[in-house]
Amino acid sequence: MAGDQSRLDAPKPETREVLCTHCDRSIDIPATAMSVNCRHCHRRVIIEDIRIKSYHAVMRLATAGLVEVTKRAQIVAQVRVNDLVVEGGVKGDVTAVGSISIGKKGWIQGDVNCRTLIVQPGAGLNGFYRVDPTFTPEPTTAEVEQEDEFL
Amino acid sequence: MIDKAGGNGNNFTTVIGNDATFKGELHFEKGVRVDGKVEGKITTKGHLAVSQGGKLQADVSAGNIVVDGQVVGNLNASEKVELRKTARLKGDIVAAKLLVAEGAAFTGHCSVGPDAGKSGGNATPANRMTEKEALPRK
Repeated sequence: MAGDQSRLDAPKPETREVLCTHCDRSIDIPATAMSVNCRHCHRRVIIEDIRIKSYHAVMRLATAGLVEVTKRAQIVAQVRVNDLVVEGGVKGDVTAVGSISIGKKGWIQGDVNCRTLIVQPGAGLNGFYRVDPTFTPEPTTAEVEQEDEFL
Repeated sequence: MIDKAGGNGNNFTTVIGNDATFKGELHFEKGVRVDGKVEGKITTKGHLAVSQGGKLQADVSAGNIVVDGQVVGNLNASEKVELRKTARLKGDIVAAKLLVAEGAAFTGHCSVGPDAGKSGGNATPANRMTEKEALPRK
C-alpha cells in the first residue's frame, strides 16, 4: 500500500506537445523522447534534432524537432520540420510549424510554409512563400503512404 | 516602427500623411514614406517606407523597400526589401536582399538573391517560377 501511495505521489513526467509529422494532429510526448508512435495514425514520429553536414537526397525528411543544414550541406527532399536553420541549401518544398532561419549563404529552392521566417542579407530564396504567424498545418485523417524517410 | 529618418538615416522628403489617400502613379527620386493609403504604381530608384498604419495597394519598383504596414502588390527592389514585425504583405518579391523580422506575414512568390534584382524587368517571379519548374524535381 505504501508503495502504491509513493507511486501516486511521484511527480508526473514532463510532457510537451508536438504535431505528428504525418497526420499533423497534436500528440503529447515525454519531454526527453527521441521518437514516438503517433496515437492517431500509429506511425513513427521522429522528435530529435537533425544536423545535415553533407549532401542528402531523400523523398521526405520529417522531424518534430529542428533540422540544421550546415554551410556546405544540401538537402534534396520534401522537408517537414518544427524549426529549420539553413546555412547551406535546400531543394524541395518546406513546411515548418515554427521558424525558418536562413543564413547569409543559405538558399531554399521550393515552396515554403512557416510561422516565422528570418532571412539574413545574402540568402537566396526562390519559390512560393506563405509566412503566417498563425500557420498550423491542416490535420489529415487519410492513410499516409509508406515513404522513404531519413533515418 | 519607421521613424522620420526611415530607420536607416534616410530623410524622406515626401510623406503621404496618415489622413491622405493617393491613387495613381507615383514617381520620385529620393525617398517617400507612406503613412496613409496609396493605390496604383510606385517607381523610384530611392527608398520607400510603409509605416505601421500605412496601406499600400500597388506594384512597387524601388531601390530599398521597408514595410511596417500592409501591402497588397508586387515589390521589386534593386537592393533590399525589409519586412518588419508588423508587416503584412500579399504579393511577390523580387530583390537582391530580403530581411524578414519575426512576426511579419507574407504570402507570395519570392525571388531573392544577388542576381534577382539586377535582371530588371525580366526577373519577375512568374518567370523565375517557370525556370524552377523546368528544373528536374524528385
